[in-house]
Amino acid sequence: MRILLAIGCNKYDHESPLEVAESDAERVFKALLRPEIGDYDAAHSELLLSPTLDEIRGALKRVLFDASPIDTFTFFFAGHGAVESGSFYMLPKDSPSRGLSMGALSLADLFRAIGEAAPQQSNIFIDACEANGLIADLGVLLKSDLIGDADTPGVTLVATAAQDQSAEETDDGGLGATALLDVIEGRDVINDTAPAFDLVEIGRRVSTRLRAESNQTPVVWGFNLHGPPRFCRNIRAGDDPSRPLRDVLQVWPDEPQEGAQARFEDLWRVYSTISDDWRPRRFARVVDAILASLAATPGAQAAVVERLAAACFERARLSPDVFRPAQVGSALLVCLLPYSSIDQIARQAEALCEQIGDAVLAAGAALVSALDADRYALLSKRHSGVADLFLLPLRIANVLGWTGAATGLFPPGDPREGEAMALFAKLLDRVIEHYSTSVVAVGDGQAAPFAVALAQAAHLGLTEQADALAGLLFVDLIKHRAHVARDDILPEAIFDFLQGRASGDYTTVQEWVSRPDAMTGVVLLAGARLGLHEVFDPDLWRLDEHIFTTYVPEDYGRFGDQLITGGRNLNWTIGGSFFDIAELDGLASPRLTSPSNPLTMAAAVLAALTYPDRVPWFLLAAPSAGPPPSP
Amino acid sequence: MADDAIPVANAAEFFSFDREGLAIHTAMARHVGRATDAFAMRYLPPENLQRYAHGGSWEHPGADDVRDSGMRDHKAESGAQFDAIVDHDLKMIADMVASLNGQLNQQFAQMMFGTVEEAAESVGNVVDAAGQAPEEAYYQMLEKIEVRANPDFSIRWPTQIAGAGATERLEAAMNGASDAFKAKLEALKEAKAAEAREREAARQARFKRYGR
Repeated sequence: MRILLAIGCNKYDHESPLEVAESDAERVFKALLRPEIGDYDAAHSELLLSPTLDEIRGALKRVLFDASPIDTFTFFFAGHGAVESGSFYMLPKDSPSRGLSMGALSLADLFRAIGEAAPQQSNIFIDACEANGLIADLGVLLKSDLIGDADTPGVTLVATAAQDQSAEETDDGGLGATALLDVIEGRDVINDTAPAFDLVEIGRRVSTRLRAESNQTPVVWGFNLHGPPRFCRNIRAGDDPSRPLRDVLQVWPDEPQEGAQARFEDLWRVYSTISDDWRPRRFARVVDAILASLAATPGAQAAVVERLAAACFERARLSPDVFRPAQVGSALLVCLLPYSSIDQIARQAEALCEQIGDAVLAAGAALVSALDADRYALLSKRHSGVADLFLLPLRIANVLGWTGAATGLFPPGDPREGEAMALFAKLLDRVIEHYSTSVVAVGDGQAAPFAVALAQAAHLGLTEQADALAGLLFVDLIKHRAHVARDDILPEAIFDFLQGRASGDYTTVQEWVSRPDAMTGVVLLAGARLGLHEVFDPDLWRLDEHIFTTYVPEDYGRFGDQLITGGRNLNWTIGGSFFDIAELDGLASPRLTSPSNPLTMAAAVLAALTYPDRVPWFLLAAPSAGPPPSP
Repeated sequence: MADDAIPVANAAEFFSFDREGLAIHTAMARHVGRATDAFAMRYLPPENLQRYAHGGSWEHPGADDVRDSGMRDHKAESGAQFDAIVDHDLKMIADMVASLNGQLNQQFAQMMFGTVEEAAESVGNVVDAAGQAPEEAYYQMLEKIEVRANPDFSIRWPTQIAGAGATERLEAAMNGASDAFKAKLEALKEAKAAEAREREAARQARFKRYGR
């Protein structure tokens, strides 16, 4: 059964009255009860206008516990909200001016009720001032007795006004409710293909619109990993518009998703840290386990990843790091790599590639604007100073690597491909203009992003910039005798490493010097690609006897694994294996084998950007390289 | 474990200190690792220790003389008596570290000398000291090896490691050797050094430019 409880509160005993909260609730209630839109059960759903707290509690009891088992529960609230002692409250008509814990509906109370009733999916839409207090409440909600309960497989929450912001109103109604109605009634089109939507998908759309049209910063979090999208029907999908939602839902593949459900608590835990304490491997471990448990049902794998992507992209937007959505999307995509030979998974992966590309475009554009306003925009915001002697070069590599990768994430001919190329060229110019002295090789964590950036610059014919980049890195490698830090250097060891770099004495940090390194290989192979023989060869002797390595996997489908088994560790000694970069190129290029298709190639590049202990060497191989020689 | 003992997985905990416990054991593992590295560095300079992130084979394209001996696992185990823990016996730390280091060091030494032995035997580069004077065996050994010159043309003479008593016996034999033998040995060393310098000059000449 599908149940809706909609509450709109205009009248308040102790707060200023509102104009459109009641009408918003009415409009949403009517829309969602329509069979062709929400198909909620009219007999058991309820609409409350300016209710007291007791009336709300009574209604919650009726809708959640008096009806048959609930498939989908949707809760809508428009009215005043408030944050008190770290908790968010929705204010009923009779809420007191003090003592909200006794006189208002806390979000935690609502979740406890939902947890006990255990609908398959719960959707909460709150259009209230100070709704951003919900972020603070997330820690409370993550407690297992609230939403981590395995009997509560999916909870999604959208809140459309931020702390210190009032929910804005127009003549038609509140901005949040209007944006919601525009999507569910088909005036604002998400797509015309999906038969139904989750609240996360709608929330993302509403969030994007409100960010653009008003000063609101909406909050969207949660996910539904169980069964079909079930908040409402996509009225713009091409089939019979009068077809009830329940018919649409019946065609959803009935595939087991216990794997996802069993790891729900782990998922919530990593999901909640996406925006602040981002650790891609920790995130991937949970997603990998879920996908492995669904390996027999690719449709379910694709569906879970689609839902996760929708929720995680939105969560990542809460991070001050504008590249976070791209990083999170990439970690998710890399989890799909082992299954990408399956058509359904490949289609999902391609869609995800485009979303990651969009996220990189947005982040890159923000960075260009920031650099145009302040040439120091790339410095650390909280810990600049000595730390940036290491972190700034790393950051430069990353912004160039990620934006360089974006061009390969869109279908050929897509206009965004051209946008991505232009963005990469702009950033390359800005970096060379403002930061050329920080284009230095400090660590192997730069190897993958610089491999992408240098290969892309060469590919796009940005010869002058690419030559400058490669030249700066080569000079720095020589200056420091190719002493670069391991990609996994402990943050606490970086200061000592920097002292070694300053003095040339690495005795105390031997264990953190990368041996064999990857950065040297990236720079020398890029030099070969760019035809810098005359520049590099005369000084190559200065790196005599230096050893570097190029790891090439046997199967790019496993290129995201933490420890990749199989493959070839190709080791190169300058003055032993080769004596000029053409000789290196001739020996290496045929061995730097490439993934078999563009999707795997894009995913492998993103894997290397996400996990810096691997490098997409194939980007730096000569295009005409023949079949790989036998080991 | 006794039949009535509570399985660890289901045992109740009382202030678990999980994170702290893991951190202490990690620190101890690092301590053991450093000691093992120090042992390895008695034979190998630190810049010759290499670290790889992923599996697979090792290859050295363009360097046909490099031998790949493959990957070997090294592992060590050590246990602690519950009573020793309860007795707060701090000597346990030294005992466990010594036990772990002893096992790892032994495995490292076996691996290193075993690898050298395999490599030498695979090309027949073995001298049997039995039945001949130690100084003659030494001469034969030197004859068979190829020494290398550094980029500044100084010679990298090989490191010599001998078993207990063997060094003393060899030293005594060398001291007591005839002048003719000593002259022959010096001539061999000079010839080896000259060959090494010639090879190094040829190697450097393969660079587009070498030195200022």
